[in-house]
Amino acid sequence: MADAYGLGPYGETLGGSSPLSGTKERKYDTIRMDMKKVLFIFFLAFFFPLKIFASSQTAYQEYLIEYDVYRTALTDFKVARTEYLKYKTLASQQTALEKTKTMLTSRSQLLLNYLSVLNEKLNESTAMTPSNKSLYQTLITNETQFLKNHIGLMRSIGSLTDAENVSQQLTSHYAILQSNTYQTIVGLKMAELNALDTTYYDLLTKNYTFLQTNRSSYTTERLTILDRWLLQIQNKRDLFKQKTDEIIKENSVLKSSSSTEIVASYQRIVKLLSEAKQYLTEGTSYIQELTTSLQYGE
Amino acid sequence: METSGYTQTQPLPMPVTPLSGDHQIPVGVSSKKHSFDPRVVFILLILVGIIGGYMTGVKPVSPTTLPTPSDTPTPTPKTKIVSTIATQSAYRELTVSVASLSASLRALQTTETTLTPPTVELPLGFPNQ
Repeated sequence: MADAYGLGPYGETLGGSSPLSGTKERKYDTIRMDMKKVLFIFFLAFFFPLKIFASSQTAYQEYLIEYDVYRTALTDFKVARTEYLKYKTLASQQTALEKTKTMLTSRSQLLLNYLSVLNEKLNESTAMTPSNKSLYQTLITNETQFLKNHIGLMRSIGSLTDAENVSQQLTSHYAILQSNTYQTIVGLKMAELNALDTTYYDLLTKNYTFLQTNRSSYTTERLTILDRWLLQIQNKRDLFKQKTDEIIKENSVLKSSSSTEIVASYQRIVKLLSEAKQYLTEGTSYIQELTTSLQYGE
Repeated sequence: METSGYTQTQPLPMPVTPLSGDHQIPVGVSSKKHSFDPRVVFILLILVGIIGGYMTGVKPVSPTTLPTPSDTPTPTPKTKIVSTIATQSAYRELTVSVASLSASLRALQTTETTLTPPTVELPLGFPNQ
């Protein structure tokens, strides 16, 4: 009894309490509390790391939910605007103002959520160099700050003219926001491609070294063929490098006052990215062929 | 003796059926048409004999063709000699790395749908107040 008391609630629970030391309810309450603690620790231990690991997925899910909210707000706004433009009544004007404010807030929130997805993707990227990651994260932070300030302006909107002015602020900044987001996407993809190119080059070097080490195992005729294949693999890499240089050049000038031009430029970059990937794929199939061929010492 | 109104000398009236030209068989002409030269018959018989002989000579060939036994060794391509290089750990490591790179390239997407920026409506569309 004295020992159990000294051990606190655990001692009391686990040591066995006599009916004289407290009521049965108290004992069950203590057990319940302990169970809650255990469950909480269990939850933290198992689910918290998972949450961190899937942060980009969570951010994406939140973005999708926000997209639905925005679509609804946009539809409501359009209905209210049409009614106002048709009837020009004070009531319709007030409704239009409310719906405009809701839509503007939702629009900025949607863009914020999207930037959050990009930021998480950058965090998870293992291929990107820390300096590049820092560069793109700075761009995203600046845009996030701009959007937060923009949301803050919603409170000051008192008329439709105010709403127009606030909306205009985002409209005039949107091209910069767009170019920054596209640059980040291209940066992510380029990092992935460059990481694969590093592996590609490593394999090319290994194949070359392997061939040089075992040169005596092959006939002269065969060696000529294998050397030529190595040259072709190197050529594919050179073509890949040309494409990546083009992408870097295009990505650095992905700035324009026109949203259409930015999208067109991004489409060109996407095409270049697929071409670069194609060169790497072809080169890899050559490496595969060469590696298979190396085992035959005829 | 009761006699009829007609005398025996009087000929009995017979219905006259006019014979058309179609019903008349020109015997002499048809016999001429069906007559054939025996030499032709002889040549035909020879031809039939030749064809028949040929057919009997050829026909039995197809049933006698036996199906190829399943255990017949099929021609294999020229076997390449695998050198001792293939057993080296460095070589095996190389093949694994190549397969890994190939898989990574296949998994890479140049356009990721999750990264597509949202489409937002920018102008509010109110006339100047």
